[in-house]
Amino acid sequence: MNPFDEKFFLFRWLRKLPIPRKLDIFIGIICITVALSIVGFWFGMETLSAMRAYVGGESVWSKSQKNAIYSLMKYSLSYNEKNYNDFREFLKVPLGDKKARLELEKDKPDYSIVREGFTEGGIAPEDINEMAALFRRFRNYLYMDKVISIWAEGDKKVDELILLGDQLHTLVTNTSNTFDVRMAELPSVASIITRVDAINNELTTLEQDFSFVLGEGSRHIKNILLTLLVAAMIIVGLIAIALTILLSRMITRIDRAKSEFVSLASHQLRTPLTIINWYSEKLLRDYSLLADTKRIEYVKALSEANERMGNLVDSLLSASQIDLGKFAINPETVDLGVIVERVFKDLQPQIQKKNIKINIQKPTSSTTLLVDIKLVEMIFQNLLSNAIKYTPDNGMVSVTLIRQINGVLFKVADTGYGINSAEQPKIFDKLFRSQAAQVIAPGGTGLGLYITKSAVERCGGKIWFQSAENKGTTFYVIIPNIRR
Amino acid sequence: MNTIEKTILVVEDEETLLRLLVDEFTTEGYRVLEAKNGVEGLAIALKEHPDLILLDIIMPRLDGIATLSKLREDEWGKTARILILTNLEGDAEKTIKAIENGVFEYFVKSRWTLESLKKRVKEKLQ
Repeated sequence: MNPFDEKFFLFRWLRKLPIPRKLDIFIGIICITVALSIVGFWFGMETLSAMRAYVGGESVWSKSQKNAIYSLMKYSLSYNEKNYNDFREFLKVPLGDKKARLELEKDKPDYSIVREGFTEGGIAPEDINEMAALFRRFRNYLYMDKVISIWAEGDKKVDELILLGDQLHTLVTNTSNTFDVRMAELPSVASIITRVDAINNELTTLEQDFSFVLGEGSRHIKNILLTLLVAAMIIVGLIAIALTILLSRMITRIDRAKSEFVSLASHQLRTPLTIINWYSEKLLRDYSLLADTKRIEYVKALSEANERMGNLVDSLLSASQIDLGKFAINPETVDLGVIVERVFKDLQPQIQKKNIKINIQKPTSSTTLLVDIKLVEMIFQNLLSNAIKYTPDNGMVSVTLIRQINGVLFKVADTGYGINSAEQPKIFDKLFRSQAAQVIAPGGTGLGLYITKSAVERCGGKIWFQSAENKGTTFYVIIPNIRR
Repeated sequence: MNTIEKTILVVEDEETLLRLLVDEFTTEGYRVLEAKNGVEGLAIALKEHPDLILLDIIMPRLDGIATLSKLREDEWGKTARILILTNLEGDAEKTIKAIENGVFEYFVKSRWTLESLKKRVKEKLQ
């Protein structure tokens, strides 16, 4: 199965995202993967190190237990109190460990007791915290449960050993040390020593099991760690490849967009310039030959081209100011309804010329916001003049203001020519002009909607639209309150 | 002037420029046909077989390069004399396409005076 198949929702969704969002997601995945592998690695290493400490602890435990049994055996022959004392002394190690284990099995262990127990058990102080943490984390699963039950089993055997030691000690201390008496006690001593020997063998088996399970556990953790690291390396590697491809595509796209912009901008600027050049050349050369009506027509063309050039330069400057983030926001409190009316007043000549009906709907609640008036005016001016420009004579333009929690929704609906669905994704592009717009308003700059979108974004708002060819277009803009 | 029988087709979406070019070449004694986009231009060219076509590039409906390609598909259009008159400069892709279609005269309007353009047209038609 091809993972890049379009059927997969994830890839379909990813493909649709704009490049900067894809970059954010990829970088996010890398950061999360690296962070997870660092945490996983640290955790795994700590667990492995604690397991190693348990193996070390077991070896001390085992040696002490063997020494204790050896001392008890000697005691059974020598009846020397020193041997018995040695036996008790050697057993302090398993007993210390047992103290720590019993405390760690409690719901709320007292860690000073745990430390005391492990110290008596001959554990290096640096290992104690790791060992306690491992015990608490995994006491119910992942090999550690087995290890603990073997350990508890061992402790039971040690308890029995202590009991046998006590029996032997009572036997020895209660009788006189004559040959006959010792001979008479021999069967009892022998039965004790036989049991001690059996316990020793049982403990040897338990100790082997303990080491074996710990070994299994550490191998398991090592495998998890390796899998984790390899997976992280594969993920980071794949994402790095995807990032490189994406960046190179982005750079190519930016380069192409830049050169397209330069060539389109120069085309747009050169057109009025050519009109001015050629018409003035014609007037200068043929002035005396031209009829008055022609002269007027030519001068009018000159004046229109001049105005168009001025508008274009203004729009290009506004666009680059917004692009460069040099458009300083100047917050003022204003009623958006008042701005709409002001813009419509400026557009009266066009509205009257085309006999367009205007319908303004305002909510009963206030439409007063803290905004940058120049930016909002720019947005309204562009959208309303477009609505009028691209609506045929006798059409209608409706403006609705809707109060929202932290702003105002501005809606402009026209009964105009609409936008071809194939061209809809491009209408906010710099200098893009739809086929219909080129026919209806040849003098347009292709910057109006680009500036509008940039201005809306600068305000922290949102803009979108719905359009159907020959039915009309509705633009929606959310203008938020500026947060001080 | 021996230009009376020569026909020029101006394909230009910018009405102000179209008007002036029509005025200028009519005064010079040419028969001038006009079209505001590629679709109109192609139809007129194939019907009227003008002696020279002044072709703009950025136009609605069918741009100059697409018009040129379609024109070259026609038997007459293969050898039609065409002069590209545009304000688009630095678009390598479009320039290459124009050359591939046998048009080597690619004029940037704003760099030419009306007078020099007239002179070039006259040379081309002789």
